[in-house]
Parts: sequence; C-alpha cells; structure tokens
Amino acid sequence: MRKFLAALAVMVMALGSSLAMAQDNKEPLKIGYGGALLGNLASYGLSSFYGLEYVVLKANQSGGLLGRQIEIVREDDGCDPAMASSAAAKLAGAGIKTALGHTCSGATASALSAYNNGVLVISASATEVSLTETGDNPYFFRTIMRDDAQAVLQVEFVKKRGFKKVAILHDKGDYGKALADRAKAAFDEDKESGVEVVVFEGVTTGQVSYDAVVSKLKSSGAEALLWGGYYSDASKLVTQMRAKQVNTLVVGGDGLKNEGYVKMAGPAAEGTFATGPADISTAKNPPAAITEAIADHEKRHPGTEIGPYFFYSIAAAQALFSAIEKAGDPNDLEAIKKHLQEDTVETAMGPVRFDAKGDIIGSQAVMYEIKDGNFVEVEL
Amino acid sequence: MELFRDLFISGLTKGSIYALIALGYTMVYGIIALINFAHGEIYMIGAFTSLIAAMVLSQLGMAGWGLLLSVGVVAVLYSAMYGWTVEKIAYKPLRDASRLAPLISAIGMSIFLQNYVQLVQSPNFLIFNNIVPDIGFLEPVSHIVNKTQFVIWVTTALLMAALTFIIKCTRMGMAMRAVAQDRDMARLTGVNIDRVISTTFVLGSALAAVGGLLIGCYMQQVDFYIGFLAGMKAFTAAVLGGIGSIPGAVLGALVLGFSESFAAGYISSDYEDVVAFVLLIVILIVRPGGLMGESQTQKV
Repeated sequence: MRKFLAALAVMVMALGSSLAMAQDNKEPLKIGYGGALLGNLASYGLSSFYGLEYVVLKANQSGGLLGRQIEIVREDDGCDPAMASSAAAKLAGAGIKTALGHTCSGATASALSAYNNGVLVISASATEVSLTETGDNPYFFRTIMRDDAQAVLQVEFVKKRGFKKVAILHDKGDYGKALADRAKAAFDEDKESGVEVVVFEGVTTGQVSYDAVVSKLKSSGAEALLWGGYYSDASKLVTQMRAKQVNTLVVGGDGLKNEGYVKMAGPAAEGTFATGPADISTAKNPPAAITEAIADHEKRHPGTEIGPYFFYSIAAAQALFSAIEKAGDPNDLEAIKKHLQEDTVETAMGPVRFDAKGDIIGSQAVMYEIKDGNFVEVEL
Repeated sequence: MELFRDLFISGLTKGSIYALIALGYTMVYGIIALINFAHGEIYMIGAFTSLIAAMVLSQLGMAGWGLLLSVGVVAVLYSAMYGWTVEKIAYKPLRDASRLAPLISAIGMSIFLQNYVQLVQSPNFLIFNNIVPDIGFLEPVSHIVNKTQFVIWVTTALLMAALTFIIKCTRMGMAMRAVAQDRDMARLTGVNIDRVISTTFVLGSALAAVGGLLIGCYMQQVDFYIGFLAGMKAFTAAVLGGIGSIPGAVLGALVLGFSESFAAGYISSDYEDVVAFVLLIVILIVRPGGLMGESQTQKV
C-alpha cells in the first residue's frame, strides 16, 4: 500500500511538472528590439521598430510562432554606444535569444560585444562594413546594404559628373568616418580618373559654428562634398555653406536621407544628393504585401512616417521567424543561423537570403536627389 | 588672403559668442570664487526662450528689428530669472561650505537643467528661424559677412561697453568690485552682499541669453545639449584670459575663437580643439594666472 501511495505521489508530481512544462510552452516567445527610440535619430529606430511590430502582430493573429504568442521586449539605445551596451545587457538579462537591432552602426558594434555572441541579431539599418566583414560576430545579420555599396555609388557619381576636386568631411563617428574612409580609398586607388581629394577632415559635432571648415571648403575649390555622418550636423553645415554662397554639390549617405534633414536645412537642402537603400514603398508596382503593410501602419500609427527602414525590418523579422520555425527551437542559435543562410525566404521586399558573413544577398544602394523637399530616385 | 579673411571673420564671430558666455563665468568667479557649471545651460535656456518668444511674437504680427529686440528682452528676462533662481537654490545655502560642495551642486544643476529642457521641450533639434532683419548695406558683401555675423559683433561690442560702464561707474559696480576684493570687509562697510551676488548672476545670465538668441539665429537650430560644449569652451576662454578678470574673458574668448578658426582652416578641423587646448596649456605654463589675470597672493 505504501509502495502504491509512493508511486501515486511520483505520478502526481510527474504530472504536475509536465503540466508546468506545458504551461511554460504557452508563455510568450520573447523577441528583443534594440535601437534609437528617443532622441535625434529616433525616426530611424522607430522605422525599424514599426516593421517588427507589424510582423509580430500579423504572426500573433495567425497563431504565433512555434505555437507561442510573440512578445517584443524593447530597449532604447539612443544611437549612443554606451547606452547600446547597457540596452544589450538588459535584453540579454531578460532571456532574449533573438533580436532585431540596432539602429546605428556605432551602437550596434558596442551592443554586439555586450551580447557576446549569446544573442542572434538582425539589423535593418546598421551599414558599417566591419560589423559583418571581420567575422567577429557570427550571429549578426543585416537586411540593409553595406557602406561599401554606398561609397562605390558616391564615387561613381562624382566621376560621372566629371568633377576633378572633391572634399570629404565626416563626423568622426563609427558610421561617418568609415563611409568617408571608403570613399577616399576608392578615389586614391583610381588615379586614372584624375579626381583629387583636396580636403579630408573630421568635424566636431555640436560646434558653435562650422564657418572655418566652410571657408576652407570654399578656398579649396572642391566641386563636390561627400559627407560621412548624420543629417543633424549636415543640415547645419549645408545651411552655413549656402549662406556663404558656397555652392559645392553635397552628396551624403543614408545618414542624410531623412525627412529631418529637409525640414531643418529647408531651401538649402534642395539639390543635395544622398545614397541610401532602395525605397521599396514607392516602387512602381508595389506588391499587395507592401500596400497592405503601409495601410496597416497608417491605421495604427496615424501621422507617423514609416521611415526608410520599415520594409528592411519587416524582411528581417520575416526571415528570422521563418528560420526559428524551421529550427524548431527558439534558443538554438546555430540552427537558426543555418536556416538564415541556406533557405531563401519570400518577404515583403522580395526573396531574402544571407551569405556566410551575414550580409543580405543582392541588396543595392540607390542615389536620391532632394527636389521640392522630397527624396527623388535619380540615375547616376 | 581670401581664406585668411574668411577665417578671421569666422574666428571673430565664434570669439564674440564665447565672450558673451565667458563673462558670466568670470564675473561669478570674481565675486564668489565659484565655477558656475550651470552657466552653459542658461545660455541654452536663452536660446530656447528666444525660439518660443519669436514664435509667439511673430504670430502676434511683430517683425523686423522690433521683433529681434523684443525677443531679446524676453530671453534676457527669463534667463536672468533662471540665473537668479539657480543661485538661490544651488549656491546660496552652500556659500560657507567647503569649495567642492558648490562645485558639485553646480554640476548637478547643469545636468538637471539639461534633462529638464529635454523632457519639457524636446530631445530633438528644433528649427530656429533667423529673425535678424536684412541689412541693406551688407547685401553686396553678404557672402563674406552675413547680417547675423554683423549683428553678433555689434551686439557683443555694445554689451561689453555697457558692462564696463556698469562695473566702473555705478554704485552697484563699485559694490561688486568691493565684494570681489574682500567679502567680509565689504559687508562691514554696509554692502548688501546677497544683492550684489544676485545681481552678478542676473547680469551674467542676461549676457548668456543674448548669446543664446544670437547663436540660434546664426545656426538656425537648437537642442537641449548646445549649452554643454559652448559652456566648456567659454569656461576655457575665461581661464585663458585669467578667470575673474572681465577684459581677460573677452580677450581669452577672442584668442580661443581665432585659434580654433585658424587651426581648422590652415591645419585641419580634426585638430581644431587640440590646437585650442594646447594653446591654453602653453599660456597657463607661461602665465599661470591667465593672460590678464593678476598674480594672486594668498591671504593668511
């Protein structure tokens, strides 16, 4: 009898624990999001966040992922490397295994070292080359093109226009300086084109004025200025250039391609060029998935822009969820990685697959010109 | 030669703005030997107040010089109020404490004001419409000297002259000099110390507010963080000129403005700050009191 009771107790306990395990499985699956949600560059971070949010809502409506509802855990990093490091630590501490983020390259680099290869991260906006190139971050992927694609396009653009003297300025930041370095290296390698880099300097952000560097630009006789950095400094620089009647052509990267730039620099922004990821939402015949995502966004966040990375983020989330589904275990990073690299996933921005380094295959940079306050895609 | 001319103009403009802020540091130091780190924030508040006042007043139909002047008055009054309150809250209770206590309280005040503006206004850059009206005779040379730069120089020069007059020729100015020399002795001769110190903070804040308005017009955007770097540079200028000395602050600010400008122009803007601070170190080695500072004999 005692044996029977003991066996019964064991059975009850086993049942209890298996019930608990079943309960555990029903807990929501946590997906992290790290990026700029506040501050100057929040429009970039929110753009990615809205994309993730859209995919998660969609997935939850149709039963979630691996039978579990998905929950987003988000942390603001303000595009600041120090904040990104603590945001990453918080996400990892909350038991996050897979995340989307981060927004800016500098912040992403510092977040990745805080994750210490314990979290698989896909970014929709961090373009700096070394993030994937060095191979230090085996669990980092991105759906956006790399800066070398932007630099190549900028250099081609300058050559096509027949310019001979170019100035390159950057903001001394991770993203800006790397972009500027690449452009300079491309000009230096190609001696035959006869393009000379007459000014190559970093400017201190948040200065009282940029007059001195504008004067220098003027006296250097540069025909084009390549800017490596974000739009807030660029808008001040360009405003001061135009006020001094320095009409050098300005070409920036995706850090410049922001509505905020047009708003702040106003008429001075007209005729500025910027490279950036192809704008999927304005494609000539947008597929139904795209129009639907835009309509959904306008319904849920009226009055906000989807921003430049919305679809890159949707694609990232779709690729991630599909890989988790196939891997069958949200914590098996190696299996998820394998599926991201081997399988092609149909996403809102077309078929997506990643190469061995973690870069998306076949993503391109496009040149835009600001005309009447809008970014208009232009041929080189 | 053209580059030299442009760099000179840019250095003069930068120097003028630094001077407006540096005066606040140097006046406060002269009187109560305190480095008021919250001063850069008062300049930032001046810029924000100007932005708001300009929006409201131009809605009410004001324009031209009248608008600029009224915005200036609003910014000065509002920032002076801040300066006055900061002194009452953060420094007065610590006046007899050790010298480190008010310094920490100043840094705390600076962080508080920055975050306060970030929370109640905006964490983003805000667009500041230039409200300086067109100046006819400058039009032909506007690519060399624009109207805002011109207004910055003239305003700075006028305010320096006014400040010198207040300090040299008025009773309050005399009282300030007396407090600076020996606070206890001044008190014994019937000077109202509290009033003198408050007035100093009010004057310094008013100048910083004008700096905030002018830099807003010049850069055409403001954010809650602009006070930090500007404050640091102005503080450096005050030390360079000899902290406590009013003509020294102006001279230091101009030296700093010119050296930054020429370093950026002739060497590289990578080294703009490096050159400025190397200069500071060299000057302090040669003249520890700063360019116009008096060698201080410690009272026993």
